Formats: sequence, structure tokens, C-alpha cells
Amino acid sequence: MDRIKNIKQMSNKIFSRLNNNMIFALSLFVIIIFPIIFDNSYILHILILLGVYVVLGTSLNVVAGVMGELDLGHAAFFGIGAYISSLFVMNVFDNFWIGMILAGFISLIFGLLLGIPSLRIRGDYLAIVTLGFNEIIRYVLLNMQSVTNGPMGIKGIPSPTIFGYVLNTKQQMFYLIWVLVIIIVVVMNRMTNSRFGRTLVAIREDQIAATSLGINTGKYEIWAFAITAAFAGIAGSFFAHYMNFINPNNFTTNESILILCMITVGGRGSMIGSFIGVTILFLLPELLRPIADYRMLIYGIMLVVMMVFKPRGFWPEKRIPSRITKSAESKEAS
Amino acid sequence: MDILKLDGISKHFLGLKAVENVSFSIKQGEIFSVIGPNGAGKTTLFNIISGHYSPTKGRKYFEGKDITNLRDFEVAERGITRTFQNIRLFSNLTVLENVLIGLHIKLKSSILDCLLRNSKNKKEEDECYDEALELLDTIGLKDKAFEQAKNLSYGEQRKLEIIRALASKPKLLLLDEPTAGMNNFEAKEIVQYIKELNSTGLTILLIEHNMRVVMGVSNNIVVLNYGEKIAHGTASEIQNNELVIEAYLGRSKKND
Repeated sequence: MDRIKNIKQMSNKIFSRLNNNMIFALSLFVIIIFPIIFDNSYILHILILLGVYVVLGTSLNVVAGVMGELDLGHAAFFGIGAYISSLFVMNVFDNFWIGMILAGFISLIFGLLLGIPSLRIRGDYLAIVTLGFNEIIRYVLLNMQSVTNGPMGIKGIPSPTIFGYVLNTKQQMFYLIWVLVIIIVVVMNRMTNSRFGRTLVAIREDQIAATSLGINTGKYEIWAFAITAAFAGIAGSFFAHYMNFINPNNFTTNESILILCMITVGGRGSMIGSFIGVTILFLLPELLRPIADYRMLIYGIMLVVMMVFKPRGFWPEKRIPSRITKSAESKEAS
Repeated sequence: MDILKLDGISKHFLGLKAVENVSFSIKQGEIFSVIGPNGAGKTTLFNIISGHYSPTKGRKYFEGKDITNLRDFEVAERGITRTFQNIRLFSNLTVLENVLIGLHIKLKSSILDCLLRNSKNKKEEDECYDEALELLDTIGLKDKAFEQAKNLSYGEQRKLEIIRALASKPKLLLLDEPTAGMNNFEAKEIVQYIKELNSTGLTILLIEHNMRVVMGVSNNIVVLNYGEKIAHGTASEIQNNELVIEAYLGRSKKND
């Protein structure tokens, strides 16, 4: 027994160390070196879009995973961010960074608005509300022709610039999005292992118990929606300026459902899980391209098999943050 | 000094009078019990005190201040926390995290602090882990800090729920049937624990069915029946009260 315990402790130690600095350094290294080795515009394009979806997945994870609410309106914030940013940059002031911050900010406000119904309704009903919200945004984008150019979309959106230097190669965009991904993943990770993150988990587990401990659940629910929305808006802004063209079809309910699928396959509530899930479901259709006709069939079968054998996802949520184990270890040692 | 004062509290669910015109006050530092047959309105009264329900009529005062219109989390912030009749732990989380969530009110980091993990937040997080582990140590659950709460034994879950409610250092603790479903040995342990807590100056309001527990620990007892207060007094006064005996055992027909 003791030996098993020791081995377990050791693996925990190794894992927690890996968790902190090694993984961070390793992923930074891979990100720097990758576009230099694989300077192939198709591969880079796929990986840039993967980065966009990782941002979308990890941000949706706050509401749908950590807080456990069914949110089917994520693509709406993605769309709001994309449109706000491109309209601002093209019509008001030509600066990608201000556009991106503005996109995040406006999405945040819409997120606050969508958070308000979540105070009164939960579960399936909230899912319907968010679904409706997504459709409303799509129809607004389709029909407000004077502003959004309707179904034709907006074309000729300028590429991002840094101090007047235009980022337009795939390599540059790759670096930009993956730096964003790292920032957002670090922020999200901090959040889930903090007072705020614990509050959201408490709301998911038992709302009545949470309020009895003095947690203002409404406030935290609304802010969870807002933060989720803000990061989706930033992803949208990047997407618009990378693709140089957007239309309302990029932001349908299907897209929302796809993102929810991704984090569910990966493991709701877990940051690494979201990452894995997004990677699998985003890359799979691309890898299956050679067997063109059957690829969606295999995709579907995979989802079903996955849910039968690993219902909690590939990397289920583990609520033992590494810093806790570290603090306990130092206690034991002293 | 009265820590909690109820003044003519009523709660009606449409036609049903779950609690009707109940008044009493609890002194600082005592163990106060509410008893009564099933369906007497004890838990409803608890939910009113903790702010989960707002009363149909009446006022409640905590430390002399009117808290009638405060919401449940605001009541908790003032210093009233509770446990539940059917244990409501965050069962998928670790034991430690349950206590950490209990510490919520005491922590001051804002959402932005949490996102940025600035030095203030970092320091606070480190301190609250230590504090949570210390709290767990006092009930002998430190070894199980990293286990899921649902894997604890029933008695341990009860204790964890109490320590979670105590984490924020409340002034008044509401315990809703803390010994329900326990054997005599476990119940004794809990009673001992309640007495220990009380000796540190904590005021405790207790709902309990186990008469041995109630009579053993309470300074004052209120008896409810069909939502109304039928008796109020010390253990011996309650034991000899005609109305109480009638409520629990019924009246024999001969005496009618």
C-alpha cells in the first residue's frame, strides 16, 4: 500500500512540476519553432484557425464547463467581436489593437446583458435563451444591410498592424494568435484556481449551498457570462482581420454547437480538456479530407463512441490545482 | 444581549400557513433549539432566518439591526451561516475546496485581482489554503483534504458541512438536524463538538429530532406545532408542558 502511495505521490510531484513551468516553456518553444520548420501555408492556415477555436473553446469553458450552464450562443459574441472590430477599423479609426479591445469590450457588455436572464432561469431554458440570442444576432447581421452589408458580408478588412508594420504573412499571424492563446489560457487558468473560479464551481455544484455561504451568485454568474463573451469577441476580432472577409454565415448556431461539442469531448470544466477537445474536433475533419465522402460519417461515429466510452471527456476536470498540492507538500516537509 | 430577535414572523404558501406569528429571541452565546413534530415549520423558520425565504409578515433583527429584507448571501455576510437537513456539500469537489468556498466572505480579491493574480491575490490565496487546512485539522479531516467530499462517511460529511459554515467565522450558526441519520456514537461525537463550539462563544440555533441531544445541550427550547409556537422554556419546563406532550403523543380520548 505504502509503495503505491509513494509512487502516486511521486507522479503527482512530477506532474505538478511539469504543469507549471515545463509545459509553458515547451509550448512556447513549439510555437516559436513550428512556423519556421513547417512554412506551409495550408498547415499554418489550419493552425491559425485552430488557435481561434482554442480561444473560443477555453472562453466558453468558463460558462459551460466551470459554471456548468448550457450556453448555445457563443458564436454570437464571436460575430459581434468580428463585426465591431472590422466596422470600427474600416470606418472610424484604422488601428487593429483599439478595434480588438473595443470588440472585447462591446462583447463584454452583450455578455452582461445575456447574463441577466441567467439569474432567473437555468439549464435547458437558459440554453433556449442563448440559442435565441445567437439567432437574433445572426438575423441582425443579415438584415441591417446599411451597416453590415447583409449576406454579402464585409470584405477588404485590413490586416493587423504593429507600429505601422503590416502583419500579413501566415507566419506572422500564427505568432499573433498563439501569443493571444497563451495569454488567454494563462488568464483563464488563474481564474479557475482562484476565489472567482471556486465561486463558479460552487454555483454549478449547489447554488443554494453557495448562497448560504455568502456568495452573491447572481453577480458572479453575470460576470462569468461577460468574461466568456469578451474573449470570444477578441477571437472574433482576430478572425475578421485574419480572413479579411466575414459574413453572417460564419457565426451561426451550428458554430456555437460545434464549440460546445469540442469542450464536451475534451472534458467540460478542464482547461487542458478544452484544448484537447478543440484540437481533436478541429483537426479531425482536416485529417480525414482524403476520404472525402465518409469524413462527416466518421466524425459522427467518433462523437458517439466517445460519449459512450468517455462520457466525461478525454481529460475530465480534476479539481486539485497544482498550487494546493505544492502548499501541502511544503507543509509536510517542514 | 439578544443576538437574534424574531418578531411575529409568518410565512404563508398561498393558503398554507407554514409559520404563523412566531416570536422569540436568542441570547448571545447560548444554544437554542427549535423542536416540533414533522411538518411543524421548523425548516421553513430556518429558511426565513437565513434569508432564503422572505417572511410574509413580521420582522427579524440581528444584533439589533433589522435584517428582514436582506437576501440570503447578505445575511451570511452579516454573520449567520447554516447547514442543511439533507447535507448539501459540493460533493464533486475536494474536501479542501469545500472549506475554501466557505472562506469566500473573508477573502477580498475582486474578479480582476483573480484574473490578473496580482500580489494581493497571490498572498491571500496562500493564506486561505493554510487556513482551510488548519480548519480541517480541528475536525480531524486534514488527511482527507484532497478526497472528493462525496467519498467521506456520513458523519464526516456532517462535520465538513459544519466546518464549511464555520469557515467565515459567523456569529450565529444554524444547524438543521445535525444528528439526523446517525447512530448513537456518531451523535454523541457531534453533540460534543457542538458543545465545544459553544464554549468558544458561538451562538447556535439547532433544529433536532433526537430528544436526548436537544435536552442535553439546549439552554432554551421553542416548540412549534402546525407553524405556531406552543411552548418556550428550558429543557425541564418543556418536558413537563401539557401542550408539548399533546403535540408529540396526541391526546387520549377519555380526557376529552
